[in-house]
Amino acid sequence: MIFQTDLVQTIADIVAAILTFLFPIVSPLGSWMVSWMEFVLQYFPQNDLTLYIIIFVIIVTAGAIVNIVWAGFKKPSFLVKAKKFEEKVEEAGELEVKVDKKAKKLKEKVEKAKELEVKVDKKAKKLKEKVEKPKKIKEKKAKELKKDAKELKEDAEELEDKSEELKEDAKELKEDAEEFGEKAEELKEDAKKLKEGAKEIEVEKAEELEEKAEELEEKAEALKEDAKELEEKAEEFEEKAEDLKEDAKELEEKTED
Amino acid sequence: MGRSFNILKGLIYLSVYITTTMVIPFLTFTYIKEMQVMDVNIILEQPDYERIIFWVSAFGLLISSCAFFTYSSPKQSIRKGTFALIQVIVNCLYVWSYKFSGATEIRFELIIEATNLGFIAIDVQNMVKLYMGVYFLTIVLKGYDFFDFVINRKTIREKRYKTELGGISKA
Repeated sequence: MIFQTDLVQTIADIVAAILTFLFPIVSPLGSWMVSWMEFVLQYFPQNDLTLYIIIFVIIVTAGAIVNIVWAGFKKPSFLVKAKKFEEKVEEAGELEVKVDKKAKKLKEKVEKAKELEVKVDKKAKKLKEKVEKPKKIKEKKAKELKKDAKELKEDAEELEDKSEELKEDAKELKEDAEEFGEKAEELKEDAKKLKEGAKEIEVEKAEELEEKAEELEEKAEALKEDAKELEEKAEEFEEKAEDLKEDAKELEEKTED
Repeated sequence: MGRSFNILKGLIYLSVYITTTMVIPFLTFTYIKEMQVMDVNIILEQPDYERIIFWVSAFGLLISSCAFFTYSSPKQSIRKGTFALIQVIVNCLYVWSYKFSGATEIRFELIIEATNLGFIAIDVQNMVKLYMGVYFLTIVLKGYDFFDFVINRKTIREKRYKTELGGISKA
């Protein structure tokens, strides 16, 4: 007989031992479970399957709809926000490099303009000295002076052009710096929003991004100041060019006399 | 791997649960309703049989629908945790409903050639209580899972998409 074999008896003994060991621990829990289930089961219909069939259909339909519409493969909004924010930071970084290059170029132009200013100043001084020499020499060198005056006029015009160019560049730089400032402001706001929305996990990241935005804002501010300075310099050059032009005209008239 | 895979998984588990909670018990009770051992007819009482089949069908339907919802939901999602918990609770009711259907004290009448020799009653109440106690631990485990999914929702979602979409790198 199958129930008398040793193997089955051994298994039965083991199972019995486990059950006997677990019974005092698990049985009270089981009794408690039984009490609440007895209470709950009173409210379940006991002769009609209709309600159970309706519940079955509702749960299966709802499950199908919910898991088709929200399959769980859509990227969470907080990650979308963070990625967008990251792109913005990258964009701001590119803008920063661009503005830095422009500022460097402008500084070089200012240096060149300064050199030109010195050159023109020297030339003007030389010409004035020549004009003030005795009339004889003046007559002799009238032709030469005329040529120098013309040259001075050309230099002054060049300086004027340069200052005009500088002015435009400064204006452009100012605009860029303003745009840069706006971007930094936008980034700061985004970081704040991200910080509010993300709560625990992204807070560190948001703080980091906020710091970057603040840094960028400071840079934008500095660039704005640079642009203002350059604009002033350009205006100064323009005035100087105007003066030089007048001087050249005067010299020309004097040499003609 | 997408929506259709989720639904297919749900349907597979729906069929598994319909088989294990409804079809197999139904066939078993139908088989033992009129069992013959050594020319002795062992007959399960008719009202008991009907009650068993009713509760098996009722809770079998609820368990199967919950299983469909659970297994078609994304991994570690709150809805999966919720329906897994509901499923375990309904499963408890399913097992305990055997008591109401007479399954914790199964009575068989012994009949030889139209002579009723008496009955055999198998009392499995203590066994069911033990089983319920173990099931309580399963409820605790599912409850823990549910709270874990709710509390760590952000981390779970971030992890799920990090490998797929790159996530945010720490600058």
